[in-house]
Amino acid sequence: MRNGRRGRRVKSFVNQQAAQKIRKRAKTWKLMKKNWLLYMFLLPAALYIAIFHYGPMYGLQIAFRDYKAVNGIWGSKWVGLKWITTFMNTPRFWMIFKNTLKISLYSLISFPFPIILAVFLNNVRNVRRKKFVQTVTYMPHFISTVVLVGMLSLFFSPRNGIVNMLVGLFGGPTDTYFMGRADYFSHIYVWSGIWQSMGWGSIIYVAALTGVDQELHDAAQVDGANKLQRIWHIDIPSILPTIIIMLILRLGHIMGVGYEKVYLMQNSLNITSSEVISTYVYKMGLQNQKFSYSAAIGLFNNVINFIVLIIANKTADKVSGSSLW
Amino acid sequence: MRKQILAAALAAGMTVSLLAGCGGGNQTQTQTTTAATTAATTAAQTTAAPAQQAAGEETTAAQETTDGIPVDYFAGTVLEIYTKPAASNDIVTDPNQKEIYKLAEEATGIHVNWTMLTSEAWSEQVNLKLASGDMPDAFLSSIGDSKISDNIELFYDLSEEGLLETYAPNFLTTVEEVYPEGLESLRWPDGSIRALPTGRPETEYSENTWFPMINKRWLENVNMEMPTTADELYEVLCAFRDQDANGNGDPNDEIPFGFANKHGLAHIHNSANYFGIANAKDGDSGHYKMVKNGVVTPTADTEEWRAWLEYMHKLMADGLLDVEGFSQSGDEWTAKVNQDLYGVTYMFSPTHLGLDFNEWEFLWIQGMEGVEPVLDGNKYYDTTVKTGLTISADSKNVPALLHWYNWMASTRQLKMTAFLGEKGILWDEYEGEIYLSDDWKNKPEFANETASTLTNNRGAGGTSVLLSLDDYAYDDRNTHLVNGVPMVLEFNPKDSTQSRSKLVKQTLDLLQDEYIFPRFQDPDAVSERTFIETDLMPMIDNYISTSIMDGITDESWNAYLKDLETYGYYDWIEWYQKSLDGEL
Amino acid sequence: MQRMIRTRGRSANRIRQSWDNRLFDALANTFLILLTIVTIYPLWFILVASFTDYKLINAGTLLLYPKGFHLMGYEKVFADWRIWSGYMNTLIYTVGGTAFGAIVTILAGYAFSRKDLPGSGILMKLFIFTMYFGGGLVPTYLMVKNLGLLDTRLLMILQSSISVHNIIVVRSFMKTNIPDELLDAATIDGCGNGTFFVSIVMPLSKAIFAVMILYIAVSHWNSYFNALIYLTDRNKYPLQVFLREILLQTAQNHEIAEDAEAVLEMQQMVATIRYSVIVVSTAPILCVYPFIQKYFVKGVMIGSVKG
Repeated sequence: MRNGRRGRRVKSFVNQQAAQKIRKRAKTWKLMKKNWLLYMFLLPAALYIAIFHYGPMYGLQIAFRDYKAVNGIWGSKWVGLKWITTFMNTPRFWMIFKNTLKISLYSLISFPFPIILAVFLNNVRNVRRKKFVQTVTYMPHFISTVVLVGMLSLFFSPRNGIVNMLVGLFGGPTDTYFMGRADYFSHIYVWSGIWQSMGWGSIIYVAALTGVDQELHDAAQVDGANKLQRIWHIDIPSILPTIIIMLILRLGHIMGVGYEKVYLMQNSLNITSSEVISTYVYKMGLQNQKFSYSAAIGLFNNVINFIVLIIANKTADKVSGSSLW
Repeated sequence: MRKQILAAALAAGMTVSLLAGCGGGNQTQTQTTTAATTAATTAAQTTAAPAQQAAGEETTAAQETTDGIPVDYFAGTVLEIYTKPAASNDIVTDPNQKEIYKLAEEATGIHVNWTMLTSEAWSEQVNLKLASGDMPDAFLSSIGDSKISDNIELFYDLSEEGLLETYAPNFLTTVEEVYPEGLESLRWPDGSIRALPTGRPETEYSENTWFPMINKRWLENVNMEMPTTADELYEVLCAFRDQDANGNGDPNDEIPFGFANKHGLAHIHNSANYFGIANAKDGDSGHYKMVKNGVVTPTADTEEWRAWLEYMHKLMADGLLDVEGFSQSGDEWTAKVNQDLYGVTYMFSPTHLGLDFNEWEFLWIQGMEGVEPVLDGNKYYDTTVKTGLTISADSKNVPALLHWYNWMASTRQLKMTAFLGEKGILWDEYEGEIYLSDDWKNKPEFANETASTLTNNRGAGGTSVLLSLDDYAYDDRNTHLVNGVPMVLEFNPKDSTQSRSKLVKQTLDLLQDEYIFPRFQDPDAVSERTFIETDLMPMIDNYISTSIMDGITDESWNAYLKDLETYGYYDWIEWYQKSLDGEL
Repeated sequence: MQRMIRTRGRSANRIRQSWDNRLFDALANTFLILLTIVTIYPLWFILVASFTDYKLINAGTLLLYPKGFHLMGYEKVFADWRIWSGYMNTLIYTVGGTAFGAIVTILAGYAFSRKDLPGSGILMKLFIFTMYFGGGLVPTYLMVKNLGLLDTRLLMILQSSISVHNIIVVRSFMKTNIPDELLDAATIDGCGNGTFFVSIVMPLSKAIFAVMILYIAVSHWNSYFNALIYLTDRNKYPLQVFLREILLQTAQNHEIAEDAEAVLEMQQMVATIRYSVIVVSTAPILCVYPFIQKYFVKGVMIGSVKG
């Protein structure tokens, strides 16, 4: 008896669900038909991604093979996780991993700088002054890494570098060997990075700030809110979705310490804090064409990145409602 | 392939026989060799005029061609060849403009579609060509041992019987002259031949050495004698530091001892020479081992090593070393040399940076009692590129390619044309001998050129053919043709090569006799070593730098010795022992 | 909809600045001035160094103005015909690639910003996946080869014009700045997707359009790796490849050159050229910025559709 009733209930529930499904499907279909043009909008990008990214995707497997050009990707010997374990067993693995993580996490402090710059710039009334500051701060983006590192070496020279001179003006020691000290490496790396990319990074926020409703500002001003309050309660909230998306993307590159700048700044004195995964892979590849090995380490890196991205995205979705998907 | 050779050779033989109406006496031999020898006897008649005309009034090529196959036998063949500029300079010039390739095309009728890349693009493109299977007929410039050994089946095996003998006999003659072991030294561990050498061999010329030099004017300014021991050097450096040694009025701007670990070979390692530790030709890591009486001996864990580091630390602690040496770039080091800030440093030649030859002198001291100092480098130095030409296994034109390559190697004149461009500019002939010529300096059309741009634009340098030692007297850099007559040039202290050559002769006895002769090795073995090195080398390098900066304690020394073991230093030494014994 | 465009003028009614506002201004201005100084000196240094005698550049002397005015770096760079052909090619690739990339990115970004598009979520995930995982150089090369795009200008225009990162940025911008109410109102007015995009979305997205143009143009302008990999015809090489060549040439193995004069000349050039190259390669792209900046002005946006 009970069973039967329950069965009926279940049945009706199933029916309900099915009906809902059908209704939903019909709605979806209707939406799809209505928005066909939007699919056309997506088409070129989707084609591009399909051809240039998914087309070659089968190449991922070389991370698990001993790739040799002569055998091709499918024909090379399958070695499974050999490369990852080899990497993890190298004597310097933990040092390299720690350095990478440390520099990455430290680099995160660069995140708010472009936002601060954008907000301050937004506050400048004089259009010409604003444009001038904007142009100047964005120019360092165009300096090549070689020249940047060359300038760092000159400016931080213990002999007559401008930084030591300035330190001397304030009564400090004038012969600090900044470039040769392992404990200074991450500071110089991160802060020169902030210097170089702050202006460039602020562009997106400057653009986002154009969307702020001026009426809100006017109203708040009438209510007696000061500038800081208005920034905090009007500007920031209205660009918050952009900030969050940029933050998620930034977190998704947590292990992405590029090789070029680190490599150029590296020397035998600071190597204990400047050897990171990317420089290690570069050196490995330089000496020997280890396609599979570097692909495996790259994959290792990106899996971590991807996991962090997923976590960051989930968290952002819960906390603020903005997310990548 | 085999069939092709036979067919080609047979055809060649028949054509020649018909034309010449002779031959046929050696029927007992294999067909291939028959054809080749027959052809050889008659080559002079068939290899007619075109090459001769092209070369101008002097006969440079045609009649001496001993290829064995009629010169224009492969006329109409089109070859795809990838190449890059010779190593010393990356200036890209169209190969079709170069005299030797023009001559080769006119003579053989073989056309080459060149792809000329810079060294940066080269390594990327070669990788992709290998990976995509879309190979050109040949790479004429080294692609590196490891790329060959990892993909050995992609390259044509030239050890095939009779192949080189038939199509590249002139080239083989040069190989016999250049390498003590002849063709054997071109074999890979599996016995095959996958690459042919190019370039110029040299003996008694330690190309990779930079010399420790001291500024004599500075010595005079501080009133001191040339130091001969570590303690005396220390005194001299102190004087450089304390006095106005460069005489510019400022007693504080002198840096007594300069080096630059990131620039060329001005590396601090070189100072280990005074303590009996020297590099034997393979980069920075060369200082970590030495060959003594046939045994590969570790150096990085010895008392001499420690004494060296402690001495350098003393210099550093007393402000005698350039503190920026570990991090500075070549540009910064160069600027300091040019500003007369260094009293002692390392140089390619005494006139390396346009400095005054008479001012700088070779600095040689004994660092430790009972230890004989040794200079970096080796007495014998092979500068040929053993993987200069690689041919694709899929190429349909192997005989034509070899024939073309062989043609360029058929006479000394042609080889020189390949190397330095047409006769009469950078080289010339006098009574049958070939000399470098200085006469271009007086010709208005070359007024704005330097020797190096001329070499680059007209010749193909080390990326063309293999030269033998006898082809021209490169070693004797002082003998040039001036106004068409050989002359011993007056020593020009501003000439970088001359001054280096002088120094090399002066220091020859300080070089090592033994070293590990480079051979082609098993790819897996090479990769094993690479894995060790990627961790070991930075560790040792870091220990060197930190001990020079901060000094050595027994504790740090013992920890370092332990690190050497865990990082695989002794496996690395053993690897080289095997390499020396020819077991890899 | 009628009151879409607001003008800047209205907010100009002056209210007396209170002390906290003045404090804020003081702080903000100090920050901007300090930042400008810290940034402008190195930039000035590069410009000055490109004209200065090489001996002084790396000696670490404080350079405030060019010393011993030299044009050697520029002469060397411009003497080369390759530079002009490189400029031409870069211009083609940048203009073509930017036009293509910006349009595709904006279209896709907008479509992704719509909540009523079934399947877009999955597609987005598929896009994002490619930011992290790829087949690597060799399979990509094979793909390009099979498409017959090796050594073509078309490839230089297409390659790297579209990045998922940019699409995400556009999407997030549209999500915030094109309110759903607008679409609802437009739909009630009988406005289709096409009309809505052209007449409402486009005018409201000028700022992000400008940003995309800048991003894509700069990445094209600076790119050289694709050219190195996919081009073999030197007549198609972009500027950056030639500039790298010139740098490498002068920096390489100059010890081995034959005579001291040549060695000296090359040594002199390396340092100076490095700085001149930056000036030469950056100056044109810098000129783009002012045009872009125009669209970053406040108030171009609508107020609201509340009314």
